[in-house]
Amino acid sequence: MRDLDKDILYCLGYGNNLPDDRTKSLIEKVKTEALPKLKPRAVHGTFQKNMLNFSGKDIEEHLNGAEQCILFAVTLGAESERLFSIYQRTDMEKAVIFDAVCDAFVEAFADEYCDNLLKEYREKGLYINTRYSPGYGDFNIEYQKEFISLLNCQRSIGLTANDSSVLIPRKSITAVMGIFTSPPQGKTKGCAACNMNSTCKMKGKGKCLKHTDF
Amino acid sequence: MFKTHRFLIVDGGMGTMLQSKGLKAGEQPELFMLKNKEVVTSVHKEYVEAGADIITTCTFGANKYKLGSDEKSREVILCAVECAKNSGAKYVALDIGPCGSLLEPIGSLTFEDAYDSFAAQVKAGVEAGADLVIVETMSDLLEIKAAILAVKENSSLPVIATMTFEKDGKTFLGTDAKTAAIALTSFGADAVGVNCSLGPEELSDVIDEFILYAGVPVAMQPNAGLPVIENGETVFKITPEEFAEKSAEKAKKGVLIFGGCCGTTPAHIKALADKLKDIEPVKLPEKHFTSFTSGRETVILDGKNSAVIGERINPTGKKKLKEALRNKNYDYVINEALNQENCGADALDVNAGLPEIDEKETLVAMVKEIQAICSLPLQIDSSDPEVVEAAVRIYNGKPIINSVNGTEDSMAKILPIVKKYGTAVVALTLDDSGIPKKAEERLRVAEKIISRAEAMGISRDDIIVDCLTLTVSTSQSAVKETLKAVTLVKEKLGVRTVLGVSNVSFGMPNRELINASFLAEAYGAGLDMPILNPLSEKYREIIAAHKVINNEDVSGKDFIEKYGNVEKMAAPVKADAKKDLKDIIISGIKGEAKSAVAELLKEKTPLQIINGYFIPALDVVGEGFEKGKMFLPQLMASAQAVKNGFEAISETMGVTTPTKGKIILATVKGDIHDIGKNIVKMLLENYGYDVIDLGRDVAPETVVKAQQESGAKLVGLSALMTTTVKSMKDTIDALKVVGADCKVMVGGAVLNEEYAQMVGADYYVSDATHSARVAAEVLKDE
Repeated sequence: MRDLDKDILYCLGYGNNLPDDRTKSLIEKVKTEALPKLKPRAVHGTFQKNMLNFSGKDIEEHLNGAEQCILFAVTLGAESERLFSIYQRTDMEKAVIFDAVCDAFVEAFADEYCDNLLKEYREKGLYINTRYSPGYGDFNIEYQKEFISLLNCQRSIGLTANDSSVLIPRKSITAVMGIFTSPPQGKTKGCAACNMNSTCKMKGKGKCLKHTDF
Repeated sequence: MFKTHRFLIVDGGMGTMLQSKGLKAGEQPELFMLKNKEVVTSVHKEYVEAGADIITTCTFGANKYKLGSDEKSREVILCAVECAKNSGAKYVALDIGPCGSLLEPIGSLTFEDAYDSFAAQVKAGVEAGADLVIVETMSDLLEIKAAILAVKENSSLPVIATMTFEKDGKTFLGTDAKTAAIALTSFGADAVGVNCSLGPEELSDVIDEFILYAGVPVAMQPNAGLPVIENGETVFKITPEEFAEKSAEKAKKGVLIFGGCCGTTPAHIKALADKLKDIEPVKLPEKHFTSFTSGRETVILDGKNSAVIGERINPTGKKKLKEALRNKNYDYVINEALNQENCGADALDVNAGLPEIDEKETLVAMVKEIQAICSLPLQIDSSDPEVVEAAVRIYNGKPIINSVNGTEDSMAKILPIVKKYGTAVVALTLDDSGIPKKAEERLRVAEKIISRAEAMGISRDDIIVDCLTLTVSTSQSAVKETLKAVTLVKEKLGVRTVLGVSNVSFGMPNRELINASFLAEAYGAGLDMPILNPLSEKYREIIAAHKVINNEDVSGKDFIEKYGNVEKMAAPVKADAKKDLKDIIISGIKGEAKSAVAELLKEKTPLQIINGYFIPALDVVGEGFEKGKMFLPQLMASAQAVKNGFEAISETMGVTTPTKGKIILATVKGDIHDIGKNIVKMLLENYGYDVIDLGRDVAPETVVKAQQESGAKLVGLSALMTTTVKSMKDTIDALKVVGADCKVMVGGAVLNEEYAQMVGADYYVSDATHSARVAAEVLKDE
């Protein structure tokens, strides 16, 4: 299990530093007033790999050996956008904290969802690997639209993508996992494969939020 | 079709039926249909044979946003209606689903964009000969309002309007079922209800709310349970028998229109039709209550409760609001709205009547801004019918219009708007001869307005009568007449009443005391809805007490919670030592900055404070931030402290502080990740620059126009995605084409020095403090 508080601090750029008491209590305050209002939603589906037209070295590697895959999408929903507007209009300090809280929370929610899927598949004697999202490595971000359409995301969880493949609501994740009959090779998709490699502020500072498999 | 009181059966799912007939995962059913007309017609036929009265065309996604153009949409609709007619359907319903992109403010589609797209669909449907329209699977009240208006303004077809609800009883955008039922009725739908998302059992409570609150027949078209996507196919678990059983339960409670959505099949519809044969349709009793809604919530006045309208968003006599509206500073308006919401207002009056501003543009902008953020219903306040209609049209619920009066001109111009948009309305008891002196005469004016409204088909439930408060200082004897009129109007006409409270004390000392006493007496006279300043503690006390006496606050729960512990509350601790303003800013103690600046202004000029305190303190924080010793929340706290300091300067000195030059900021087209830009904005304003914030998803031409108009020497662009960095380049190219005399700085997570050069920017900025340094360099001569 990941530590939500630690992730929030990472997202705020604290690295291994600790916040002062005032900031710490403000983070708590934002968590208490905002988290209960968020309604995270998720949808997933299984697909034959050959039904998906994903191309790219990284995604092929990621799904190598799998015949079936799971596509999934999670979102913190429209309320996250409304709260974000409120904070931005009234208190920018809370706004940046809320931004970090959402980033950490949506990752945690996606993790939990994947963990449950993992358990479910283990019971069937199958394995699934880690999640991989459009926009990472050479897995083109424009595949967001495929995810939205294949999972009928607007109907199922209220998630859309615009022409620039920006997910709306913003605090959302789509990803794909392979289903395997034997334990998948633990391939590390580290910073080297990431398109944010040159600019990422988390690089070398510990666990990266976007890649859970290192 | 809806006039006779009998069950109507609509068909079931189309997409899921086509899946078993060759539709591939992710393929658009509409395009599949163009190649496989006979397949679609055969599905329709199966539904006709199963007993469906209404066949829905295969046009859920037939809009220009999903198909690329209105022409393609028309082609699909003509073909789809033909397929449906060929099945031998009794009625053919043109199906309209959501645009597929979200509307503003979350998405970037405007109300007008959505309306135009829906209107094109409706026109094609009329051309093809559809008998009615079904607007369905909507999550956004504003989007479905655009669709219903498009039907009503471009055809004479009846329309069934349904929305999609989640397990929590709300749509994805947070609209609850009661609000949907009331608002959809008010928009003019001929039948309203629920479709998709869940099975009939999970939707039971939502459907019950519709039965309670809808003013027209209720429709239900649930899924065959929750969908599961297996091997690329969407599968559903509820059997036809179970589906029919659960639906029939609602037939006994008053639902009239039945059908199915995703996963339902001709077997489900057949089972449903068979089940309904043995049930007698239930006639629902007529409903009488006064209601108004936001996009999320509803206020109902049933004569036994009361509601408070916040009066603060009205520039008359309010210097700061005037200034904010002139500068299009809607942050100020938003804060006024949220403060009133937090202080217990149930709805907000919104007025933009200032001689020197464009009232229509401003009121529309304010309504858009407020309804995006605040949960309260709005009262659209203007004396200009054109302004009223413009604001009501883009409002995402059932508003109150403030106001109509007894003059011929007002009734002729305002009541049609009330009727068309299904709003509630405040009726002022005055006419051509002014405000009548006697209560009985005011009653007669109210009677006149109500009978005129009823003749137009407006229910008296939607009329809230204002008997008009006069001031004690000029018309002392008239104040009691107002109270008497409230009682009379309520008793004789059976309508709700409203009064502006605050004017009564005009010209008197201790105004709050007179106002509060008047409020108490007005409540006693039967007032349902005071318009007042909810930030006044005196008012809030009276309201809280009234709610106990009026048996609204059951067992005095709220009252006890509020006042039960008053004595135990400790007095707020006064800050002991006086802190230096620089320390206050560096420590980010936002609350103390204002008073510290006010104190300093006694001996120093604003410029001395800015240069001697604000900027040195910000530099310390900026340096700490860049060195990794201070962090983003602290930077923002310090920035907020400085912002509060600037407020103190403008309040004390009554002047806007001198600016160090103009800077344009925008998050580029296609991108909506704007927090980085907003952080930069705040810091640059702190340093004394005049920031022109163009917002997010900003087209290159908008940036060019703003630069040319303002002559700003620095433009800052942000983008978060690799896909939107291209828009950054397009924007910079566009600026170069016109030879704009400005430098461009760019920032965002995917950018670095190299990318910045590639897109043609003059500067790459890694964070907000960096942008302040660039600004200082570029604008040093301003």
